[in-house]
Amino acid sequence: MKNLKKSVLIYSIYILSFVGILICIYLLYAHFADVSVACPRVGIIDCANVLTSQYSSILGIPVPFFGMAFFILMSVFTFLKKELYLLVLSILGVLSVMYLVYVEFALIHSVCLWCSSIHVITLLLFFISVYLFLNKILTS
Amino acid sequence: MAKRQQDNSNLIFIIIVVIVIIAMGIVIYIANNNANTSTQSVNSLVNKDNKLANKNVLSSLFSISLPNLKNALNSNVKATTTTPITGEPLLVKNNLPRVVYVGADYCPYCAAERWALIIALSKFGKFSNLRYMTSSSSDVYPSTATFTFYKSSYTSKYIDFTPKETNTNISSQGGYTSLETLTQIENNLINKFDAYPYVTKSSAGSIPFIDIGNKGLIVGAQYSPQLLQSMNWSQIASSIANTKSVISQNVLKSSASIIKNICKITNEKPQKVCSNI
Repeated sequence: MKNLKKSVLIYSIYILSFVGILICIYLLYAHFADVSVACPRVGIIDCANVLTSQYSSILGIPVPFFGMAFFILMSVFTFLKKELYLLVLSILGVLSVMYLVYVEFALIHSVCLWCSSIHVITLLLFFISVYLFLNKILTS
Repeated sequence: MAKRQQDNSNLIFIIIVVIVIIAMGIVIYIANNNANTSTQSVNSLVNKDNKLANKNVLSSLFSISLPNLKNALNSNVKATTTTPITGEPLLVKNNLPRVVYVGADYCPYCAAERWALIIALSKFGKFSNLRYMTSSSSDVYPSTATFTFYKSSYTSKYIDFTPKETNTNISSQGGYTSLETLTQIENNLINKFDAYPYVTKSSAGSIPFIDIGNKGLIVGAQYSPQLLQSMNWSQIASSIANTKSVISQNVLKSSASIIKNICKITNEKPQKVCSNI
């Protein structure tokens, strides 16, 4: 039962990371092809405003690129069963999410739904990483 | 023993989850508090009609740099640019080339265009007593945050700018209450240039109507007021200052086009503006 639960969590990391990579690829495509993403403009929701802001890239590199690297590394560390690396990486992910959410609300005054989905995925990956790490400590 | 360790582990996990969720909530709360403004309801926008515009908002618009305006002119956004008029004598008033604006407080397209026009005109003179306004709440692009030229003044060594807002944004008998009347010259300009072949037959008589010295013409808004929906003045000004935003690219491209056309009627004066756009 415990192994089944662990397997479910591990596959969840793969699935969430895969979805995250797909979203990042879509956002990168929109960035380089200079096209609009599918996103309603209602109230504070304005993907275009977020994705074209000065905060949408770091040192000239689009933020979704870092997101894609994050999700690839999460998958690799999961495959290699490096629970500590998963935990550290996911903590960095959560801190990045907090920064990006702050920027969206405080500086850009707009929220991007695609970015928010990445944020939710990152948080879920963090929770799974914490659980796997605690589980490893427990079993060792 | 093992069960106790498992329970402790679960408890630690739950505590971490709760802490992170609370932390995210705190981040969002702090971000909202630190925001220059928060999203305003329509009522709070309308409540600011005819109030003097915030100095910081205006300062943000007036300080848009010429390089940013020039760069926007070459952007790929869909903002249209000024239509040239040929074969007409220069329009002059008080010995200065004249820029005529005819619009109305209710008009959402005027609402959008005023942002670009104010930025452009600020490079040639000074505004005072600009007041907040919102377009009609019952028209398309309702309650678009903008300004009104009514009761404002503009001084310049280079151009004469005479704006007229013909109606308020207050509904009355199927239309809107009257505000300012046009002079015979202004009516003649509209009858001539706000008509075919200068504009399409379907858009004849549209506002805003901007005649730049009888050398350049803008009828309607150069970009869609949709871009400004649900935003207050500080948010719009902030977006305009963010040169990578879609709003900024549209507004600044529109503004730069107006500047270029004004430069044509002022013999490229002031040089520091016209030589850098």
